[in-house]
Amino acid sequence: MNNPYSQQRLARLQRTGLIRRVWVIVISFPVFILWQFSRLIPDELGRRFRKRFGFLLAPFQGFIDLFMFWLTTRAWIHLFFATPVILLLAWIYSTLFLANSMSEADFYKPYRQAMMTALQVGNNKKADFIAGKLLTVDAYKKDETMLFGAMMAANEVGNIPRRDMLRNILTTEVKSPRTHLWTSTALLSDRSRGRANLPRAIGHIKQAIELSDNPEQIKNMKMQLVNVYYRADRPTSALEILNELGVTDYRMGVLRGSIHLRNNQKLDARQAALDTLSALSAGDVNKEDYFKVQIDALGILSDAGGNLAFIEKNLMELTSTMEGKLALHPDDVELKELMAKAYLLLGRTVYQGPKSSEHYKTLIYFDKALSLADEVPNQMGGLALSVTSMPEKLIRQALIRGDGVASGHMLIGINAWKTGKSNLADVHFRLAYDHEPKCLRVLEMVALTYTQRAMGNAYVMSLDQGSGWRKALELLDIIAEIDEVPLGSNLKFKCLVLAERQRWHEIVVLLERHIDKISGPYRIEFLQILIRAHGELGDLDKAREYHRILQEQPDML
Amino acid sequence: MTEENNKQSPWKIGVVAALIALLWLPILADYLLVLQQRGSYRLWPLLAVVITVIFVIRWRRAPVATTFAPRWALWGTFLVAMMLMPLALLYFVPYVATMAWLAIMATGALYISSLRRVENLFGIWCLLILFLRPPYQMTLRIMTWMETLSVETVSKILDYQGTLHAVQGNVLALPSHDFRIDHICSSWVSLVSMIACAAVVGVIRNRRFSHAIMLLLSAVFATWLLNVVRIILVLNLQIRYGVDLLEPGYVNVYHMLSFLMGMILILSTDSLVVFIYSRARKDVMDSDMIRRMKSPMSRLWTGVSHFQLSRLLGCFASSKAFRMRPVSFYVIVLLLVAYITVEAVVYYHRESVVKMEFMYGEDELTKIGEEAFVLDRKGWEVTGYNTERREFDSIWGALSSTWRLKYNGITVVMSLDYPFHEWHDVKRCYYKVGWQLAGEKILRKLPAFKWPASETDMVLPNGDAGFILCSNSDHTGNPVMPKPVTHDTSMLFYRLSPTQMAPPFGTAYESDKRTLYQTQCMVSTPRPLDEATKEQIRLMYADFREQIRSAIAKRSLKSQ
Repeated sequence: MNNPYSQQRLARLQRTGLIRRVWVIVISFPVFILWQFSRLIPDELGRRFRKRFGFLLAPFQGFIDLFMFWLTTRAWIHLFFATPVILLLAWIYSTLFLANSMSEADFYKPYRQAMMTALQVGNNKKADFIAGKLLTVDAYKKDETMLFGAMMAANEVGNIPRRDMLRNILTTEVKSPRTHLWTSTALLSDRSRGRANLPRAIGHIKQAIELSDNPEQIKNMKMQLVNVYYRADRPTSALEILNELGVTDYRMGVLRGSIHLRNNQKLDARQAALDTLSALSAGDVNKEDYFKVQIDALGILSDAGGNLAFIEKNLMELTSTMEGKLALHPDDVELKELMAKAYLLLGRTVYQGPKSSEHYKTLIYFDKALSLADEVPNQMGGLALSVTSMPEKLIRQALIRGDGVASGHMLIGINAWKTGKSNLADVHFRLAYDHEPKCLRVLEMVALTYTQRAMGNAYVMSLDQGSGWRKALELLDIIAEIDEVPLGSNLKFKCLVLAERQRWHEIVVLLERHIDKISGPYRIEFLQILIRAHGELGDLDKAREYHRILQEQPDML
Repeated sequence: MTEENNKQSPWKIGVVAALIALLWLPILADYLLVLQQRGSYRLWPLLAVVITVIFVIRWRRAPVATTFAPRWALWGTFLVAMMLMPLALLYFVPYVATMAWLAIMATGALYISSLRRVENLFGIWCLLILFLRPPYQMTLRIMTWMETLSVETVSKILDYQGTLHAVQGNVLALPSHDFRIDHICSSWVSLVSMIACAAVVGVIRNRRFSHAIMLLLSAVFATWLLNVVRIILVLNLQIRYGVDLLEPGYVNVYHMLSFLMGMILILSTDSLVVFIYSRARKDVMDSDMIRRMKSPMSRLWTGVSHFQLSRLLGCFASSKAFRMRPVSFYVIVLLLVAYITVEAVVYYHRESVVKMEFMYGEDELTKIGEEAFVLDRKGWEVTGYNTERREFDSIWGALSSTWRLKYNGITVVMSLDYPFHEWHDVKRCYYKVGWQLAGEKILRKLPAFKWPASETDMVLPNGDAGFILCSNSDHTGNPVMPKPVTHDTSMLFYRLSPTQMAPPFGTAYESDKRTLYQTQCMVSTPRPLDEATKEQIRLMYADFREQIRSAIAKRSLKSQ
């Protein structure tokens, strides 16, 4: 290596221009430093090294020569002109190098933080957007907190496919207890399917309890399970958990009462209901389930042959309290449903009362119940059938006065249908429908209850066995003529009536004719019925096929 | 030898040049119109001007030629042009005419090189190749690849900078804005224009062969850099200052700036290549340097990096000047006049009719209803039938009848779509609605597919698989051979078949043959179908199309 600033070289540079001279002096500086370092190695040592180890370099001598030749014959000025490209390359590659040297989790940490912040401030759209990126990052594929947050965001913005995908991952792969809990809450709050979601909601809460290791959380979840069991009318299970937890709950009386009633221990049921009512004071009005417990207790009392005047008085007070609360919370759906239930009970109690001149009030209460509830209570069908013995004269007088018009027409129509006067029934049903469209839902329940009762009485009228369900189907056909959407609830009740008689083949024929025209929640229900029907018929291939179709449904929680 | 010695009779050259211009200009104009419609080729007029300027400047300072182009090269290039031109005219393919034009320009360049020694004339001719679009949508594919590469790089940089974003296909999405990558990167300043700039720089600076190749490759690299800078610039201006450079008010300035930036990068890349290839002059050579210079590897490097194509081309130079004999002159003139006549006929018919006009009108079409198809196959059921009417020039056909069938829980859609004036490439329609091609073939399995059908497998970005079968028959029910799917000799024969010729030369210019009815089968499933199911669907489709074909044949015969 030679000194780049040697006298000879500098002398030669004198002949060149000033700029070139400065340029050469500047760019020769690194060579000068290297030359200085090379001088530290004694010549003799260098020669010895070359002599001893020179052979190691022999195979590469050609490349070394080429490299040295290339390096010493470059016109460096051109490198200066290439600066824009070199700078850009240096910037891009240094950034890529730094980015690649970070761990994936650290690299995408800002995304995770930003998503969590967006969720906290309620910016679900942004959270869902960021989740899209994070879901492709392997490091976060099992991050329960992130996945749960992403699922919440997807749910809020209506990104249903992503929500379902994440829910599936969280419940099956990540085994997240809170996702099970969230799913159960979502299922319970889906009112479009009534109580159909309750078994699945219970399943999810049980899974959440199983997966959780936090005792406090487990206790809360078990209490939630009690609530669901209570709503699902499964008092034994609810009571079992309450006993297991050692919790004294004001609902326990109602739960015990229900069990006694089922076991036909009316005396005990009455006592349990009375105990519950006496335990609840007016100050408990804000307690969760206060109204439901009251109504259930009064219901048990009524079923167990309690004092009708006492029940009526209590119900009157209760409904007036509820009316007051409803005035403050006009959109409270749950309260409305409870009120509807209370009015139904009141209507039945009045009807059971000794004053027959007062029986017309039943119609008024039934109308009130119908106007309040978004979903018609299940017991309405049975109640409607049970008051059909009300004298028609009394009903007509009420109709003239304008009391309980919808229920009045409905009862006259039911009586006409029972006696085979379909045309008359149709006229009254239409009048009832004009006043209260929900009447059709009541009539569907009437049809189902009628089938069930006919089956229960089959041993009495063995020759007439099976006619009940055909008559029920006739009623449903009359309703379908009036209904604007006959391929919804009406079709479902037809299936339920047929299912009561185990007529699965008819169900298959009925549903497969229409299934392609149906969308939304009813489609899911009908697919489930088809799976069941094919399963019952032993056609497992078809059942599997419908199961596959069911899994592809977008709203399938 | 003087320039005058080399000269032909000027009127002869003039006549030939005029006839060549007359032959090529109309069809070339058609090609350039197509070129103008493609965003990435919109700079072609500038390229034409640059080439002309370079040539004129170099022609004016060129000395008289001392060596001449070989006669075989002149005749060879001329013959290539003359062989390509019939194809271009009979089938009316301006692309082939452009290829022929390149050949005839090569003849011209060779002739010019016999008059004067124009500096780097070969390079100037090579610039003309830039007008020719690469076949099979190669430009589009490369540009898409370039966009993907650029956006991947930018995504990494943005991630590192902490800019929250997501890349969805060709959209770079931020929480508040969406940026179309193709809008940022694929205008008239794109890979095509960068390569053209690199080529022009290479010719202007008379770069050596290996240098020019390196420069062209580096242009791809420079485009990547340019795209990265452009995307980051557009994004940051939008995020920080709310300025959208792609708005109509700014977009022209943005493209001008991009072009300027691109030019700087190309020049800069050229300097880098110069640095790598060229050797600085040394005033003093020490012994070490001389030894290294003489080593085999260094000599090889010097040989490769200093390779001059002109020297190689010079080997073929002739010492005898080219002179056009009277017989040759008359033959050439006759040939050119014949071609011009054919061209005039083609243009006359093209002016008055297009292929589509041979197709029957809506009232004369054979209408096929639900009763045309009767299902007779176990395990299958018809679940629905519907019809659809669209615009008469819709790419899906003006009329459609659709039968929805069910097999093993799978919905199979059979449809009849019509009319089409030529083989309807159904995969393009699906491509337009988001499906991507996964594979295609022509079914020829006997006996069901004695009349071949095209079979295409497609996928959606969400993983859904599509299985499509398609056949066409004409108005009288005659089966139409499907278009080949592979770009090999079968495609060449298909293209060269007489039915594909332009009017009035083609054999298929009767309404019966130009009105096609397409039967199609489409199955969309979350996962690809298994082979056994596919086989069942193929057999069902063969039944379906045969029933439809005979229905068309019967009804058309009746109406006639």
